[in-house]
Amino acid sequence: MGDLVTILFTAIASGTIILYATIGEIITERSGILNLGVEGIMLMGAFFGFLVAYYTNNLFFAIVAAGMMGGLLGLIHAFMSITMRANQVVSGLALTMFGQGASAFFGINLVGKTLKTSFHPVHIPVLSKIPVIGEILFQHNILVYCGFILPFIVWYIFTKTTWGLALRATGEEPLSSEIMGVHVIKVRYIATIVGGVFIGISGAYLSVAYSKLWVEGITAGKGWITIALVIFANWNPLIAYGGAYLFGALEQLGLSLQKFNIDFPIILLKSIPYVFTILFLLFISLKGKRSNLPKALGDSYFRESRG
Amino acid sequence: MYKIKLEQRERVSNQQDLIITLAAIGVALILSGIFIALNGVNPFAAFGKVFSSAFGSMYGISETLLKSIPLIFTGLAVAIALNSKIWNIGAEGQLYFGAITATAYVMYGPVLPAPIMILTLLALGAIGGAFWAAIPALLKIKFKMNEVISTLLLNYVAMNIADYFLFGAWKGKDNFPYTTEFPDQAKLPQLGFGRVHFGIIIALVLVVIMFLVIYYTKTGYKLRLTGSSLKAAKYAGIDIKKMMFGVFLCSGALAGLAGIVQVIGVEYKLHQHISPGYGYTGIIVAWLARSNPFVIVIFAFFLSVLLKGADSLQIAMGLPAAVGVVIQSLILFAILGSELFKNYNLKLIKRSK
Repeated sequence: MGDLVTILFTAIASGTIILYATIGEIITERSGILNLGVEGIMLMGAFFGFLVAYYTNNLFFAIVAAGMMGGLLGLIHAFMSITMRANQVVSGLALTMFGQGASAFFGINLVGKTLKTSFHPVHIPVLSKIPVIGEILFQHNILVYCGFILPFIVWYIFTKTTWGLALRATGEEPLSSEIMGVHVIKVRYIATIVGGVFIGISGAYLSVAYSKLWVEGITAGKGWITIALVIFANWNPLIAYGGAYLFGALEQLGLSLQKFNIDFPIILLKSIPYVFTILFLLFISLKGKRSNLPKALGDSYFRESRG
Repeated sequence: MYKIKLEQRERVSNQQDLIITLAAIGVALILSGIFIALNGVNPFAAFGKVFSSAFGSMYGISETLLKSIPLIFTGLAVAIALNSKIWNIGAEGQLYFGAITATAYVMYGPVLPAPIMILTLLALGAIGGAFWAAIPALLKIKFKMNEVISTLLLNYVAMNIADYFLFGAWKGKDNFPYTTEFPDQAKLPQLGFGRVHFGIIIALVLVVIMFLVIYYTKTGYKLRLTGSSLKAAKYAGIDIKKMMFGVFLCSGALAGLAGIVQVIGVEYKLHQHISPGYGYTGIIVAWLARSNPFVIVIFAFFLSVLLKGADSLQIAMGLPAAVGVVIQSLILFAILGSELFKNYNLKLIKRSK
């Protein structure tokens, strides 16, 4: 029992990394922009957040800085894919390479450094006292709790506000939206930047709060797993919620196979997240249609082509 | 107030195309210079170093050529898929899996006379790469899974499998994660110019073959048709699924060859770092060359100058090795941005108040 509680506790903690990024990417993709640079943005967020935390000892600054870095990279992707009308796949790949290179380039002196301060677990009064559930859910740090609420906020904005409607319309029918008075270009810029902010924060959560250290390539493919999870979640923030934690749980269960004396080469356990991700995608493909796929996802928008 | 207006234009001339591409590369190098300067190194000295290390001596030129060999293979691998609008981001993993497959023969099979041994290993490398590409191919064809994600995720798995063998059954005598050196029969002959080996000839032959196939055969026509319009290809009666599967296999085989050629041409053993990202750089090579096989050779050489230069920057000026990746990404961004100038005329017009 104790083992299982630990596994599920860690599952929530590690699921939070991809939760932030997945929510960010959903916001971006819902506007019709495909951002394949998640891995690179996450790395830059992780690096920059760690850098700021290391030199200022201020965790709030670290998270804000990582968010701004993510927003800046989102802006670059928005500029390339909206204003320069570039191929979004290539722009995303370039962004990934840039993030991998630049974070390794500037982060080389941070390798092996430890933070003087880090996020402490906050035990929520009453709730954390509940046996088992309290231990799994309510003894985390503040960023995990923010992650608990975030998908609901985004879901509310998507479905209940004009803003959300404009965002979704932009991703489905940009031309008609423009005719209805939505400023498609503006909406897409904002969605890509805001998406980048959350992806950047996910990186900082990873380096500053979760692993508490910086190493080159710390995300190890989590950005790509995020992109897969967006598809799995059918672009719905509430499903992403469950998906991220489910993924965290499966990953932790896989990693703890060795505890249960199951004969499996330990070194191959590293492959588990990637194989699970592919199986996740396979599962939804077998399950049927992905109904929320934004129709205009990945297409350049030509304002001139309005009638 | 002035405003920039975009006017769609017809295809640009080759000359304009070249000028715009060169200008974009220039912009990328300026941005790279800023990056290098941020690290406290004089960018002019750095680029001088890159240039002199690549061209300053016969040794430099031979090393640059040597580095361009795997890039030609991975460039071709990505390009053949890109021709039919398939994104193979998994060349890196296919490269490793090809190398693993062929190494398995060296570990467990009998040593054969040189030419047969080499041919066997090349064939196994290609098969291994093709096998690794067959997985995302099936996932795409049968389950409509996006190949960008699946090929990329499989890169991590392939490298993990390499680790599994290198830290386990194939660990060399001195307990480090690399195999013992391959027998001489397995080594590609060198051509008498530095370490440049026979692999460059294989690569160039494949360039010519691919050029002929793509532009002068019915298969190549079908391939390009599938790439330009899926609908048109369907109406023309092309079996798209079969086509895609074939393309994936060829792409994977080429990437697998990159791996095994690197192993039996340069490294002479399998280890964890046989590729510093040749599979990813291949994407840039293929994209810059617009999938044209001959142009791939040029850009493979150009990028190997940069890779080689980045190595020497690391050694001589203490810049982190990642500088090479940063420069590559900036080139990609600049070229990507330059597309706009190829597709549109930019006009400055006075905004009426």
